[in-house]
Amino acid sequence: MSAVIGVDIDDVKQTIADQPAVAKWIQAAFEADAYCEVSPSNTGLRLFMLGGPLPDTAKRKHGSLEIYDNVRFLTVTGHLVKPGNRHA
Amino acid sequence: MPEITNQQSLINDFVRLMPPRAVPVAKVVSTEIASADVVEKLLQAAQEEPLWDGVWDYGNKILGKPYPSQSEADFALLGAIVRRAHSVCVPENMVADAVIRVFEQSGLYRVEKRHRVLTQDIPNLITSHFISAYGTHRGGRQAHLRLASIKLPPPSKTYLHLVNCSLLSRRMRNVKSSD
Repeated sequence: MSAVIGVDIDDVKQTIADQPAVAKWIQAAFEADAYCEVSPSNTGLRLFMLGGPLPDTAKRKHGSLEIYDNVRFLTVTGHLVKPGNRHA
Repeated sequence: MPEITNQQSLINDFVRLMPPRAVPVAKVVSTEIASADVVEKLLQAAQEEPLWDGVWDYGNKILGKPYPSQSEADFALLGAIVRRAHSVCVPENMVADAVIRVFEQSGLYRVEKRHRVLTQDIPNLITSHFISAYGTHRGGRQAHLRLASIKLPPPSKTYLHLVNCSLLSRRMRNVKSSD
């Protein structure tokens, strides 16, 4: 059964500087045309996607990275990251 | 209009960016009441422990105190009793009950700490000990650290003797120097 999964990446520039692997993941998300928008702070990214429930062994929050399939609420700004404007 | 689509592989990749959650240590809970002879056998063994009489607050500024608090001493004595339970072959499902009944008779026992001892200390010690005995556990590193902590032997009665000797020799040196 698919659930809506919300991914939150705070302060993208700093996060990428700290964890270069995150840049690759964001690039892959863009290429997969995942739903992606700018967070209310204008510095982070929110991605919403469908997928199976997260494994119990996976952490939900680690530093500036967060992923949830329940419990939390994420704001939706509607400020989509458009293909021509993907500077993250 | 953009849509939210299935991106399972992306989700899997993102999860891999996060460190795994620490797996909680499985608690061993006694399901049976220990028989009187089991308790008696364990009691006799436990009475040989240095902390049995409840003397934990010893040591001095030079050598330090072996137990910063009575709770640490409680944990050390409980660990010793759990080890003794294993050595006198108390059945695993009776260990928790036997240990608390024996611990109740020690000088360290405090009624107000009974709940913590029953729900935290004893289950953690039993889990750690039976991991070492049978070599299986999900907790890995955490369990190993716990195991390492209970492997430390409690300070022996000779510790007190050494403290006294140290103090005596210092006093004698002071007396000589003042002379």
